[in-house]
Amino acid sequence: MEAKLETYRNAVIRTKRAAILRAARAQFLRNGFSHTGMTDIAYDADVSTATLYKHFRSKDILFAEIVEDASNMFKFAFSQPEGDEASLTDSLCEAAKAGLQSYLASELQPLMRVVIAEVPFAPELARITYARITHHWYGEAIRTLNGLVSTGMLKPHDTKRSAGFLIGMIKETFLWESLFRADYVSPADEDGRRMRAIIELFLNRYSVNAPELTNVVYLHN
Amino acid sequence: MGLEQYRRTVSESKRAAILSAGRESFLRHGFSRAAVADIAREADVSTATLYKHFSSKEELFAIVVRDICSGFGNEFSLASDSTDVRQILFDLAHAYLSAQFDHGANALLRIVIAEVPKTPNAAIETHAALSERRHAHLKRTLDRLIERKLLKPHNTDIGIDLLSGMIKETLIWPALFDADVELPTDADDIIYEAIDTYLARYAA
Repeated sequence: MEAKLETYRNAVIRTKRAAILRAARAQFLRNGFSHTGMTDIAYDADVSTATLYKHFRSKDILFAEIVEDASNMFKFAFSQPEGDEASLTDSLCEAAKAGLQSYLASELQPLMRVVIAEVPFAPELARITYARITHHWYGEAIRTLNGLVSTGMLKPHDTKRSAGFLIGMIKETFLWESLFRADYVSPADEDGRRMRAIIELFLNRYSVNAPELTNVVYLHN
Repeated sequence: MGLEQYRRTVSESKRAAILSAGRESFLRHGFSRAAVADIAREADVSTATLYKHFSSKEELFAIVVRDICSGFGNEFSLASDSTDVRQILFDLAHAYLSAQFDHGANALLRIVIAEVPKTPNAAIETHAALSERRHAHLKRTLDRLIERKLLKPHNTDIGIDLLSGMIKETLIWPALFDADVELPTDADDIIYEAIDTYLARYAA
């Protein structure tokens, strides 16, 4: 009986917590961070403010948790291909596509706008949030790229910079415009040629078979 | 000076003062929080005068955006006969970054992104005035370099996203989230490496 009660209590707590996170997210997206009050969130979540503060000590912490939950959904899962460069291109395309899908599904992108809107009012919050999100992305990407260097598929190189190039090309192609439009739909890329162009450009520079840069340096002379 | 001409000069200088105060105010407070009365006071005109020049805050904002953007995107002349593709692209990247950091474009992007929920059109129009115009200009430039056989034929719409994406990730995105960000000291290295990565694939 005791155990059953305990389970019930935990279930109620979990439900309330989830309701708070849902309500807070909707409020932040609609009114921004500064203009959202904890009482409004409690009201929408159908809990008392006391309960709300028991779960989250401050609005900052609540916001950070929402961002953290969303950004943890981003995964760059990659399995080492057997064989040649063509299969490396294919597997990287697949991994990048799946990574982009996991990002879009996390609905972190609309929150990015909320964070940018706070730059004048809560600069520290904006800075920290961006740092946290990119830290997670870069961690995922660099781990994969270092793996490919260690198995001899990529040249040894500065993988922090190349991860930035890879992430940057994907963001520019699929996400940049959505900063400006709430109703923006990321290009479908059904035939995959946009993602392929990104991966081919990347491998053409960093794959172990890529020509050394001397091939292009002459253009400068 | 005739009276008519004197009046015109006064009117023009008031208009310029309003635009400059409006620009200051929008960049500092964003669109929603900028108040027309404050802008008029800063410009040292009455609100009636302000409304004679601009029918609404929206119109004033649209013209401020247009003014900020009008200088951008035309920095590079298509007539250049240089064959140094690497340098051509480097100069383009520099003109772009200078617009972003020295001429208020980063701040402008931040404020219109902040307005997406409340004033969606401001963001869409700014995106058109800034990003789409630049994209079109860059596309003409790359297509011209292909015609001149300095680049391999390729889909330049896709190519632009690749080249700008590599540069923007490190040099622009952080500035959207932090008003105090400056260009890093190794910005030129990053630009060159991005260009070389692009040229390794697309140089003729």
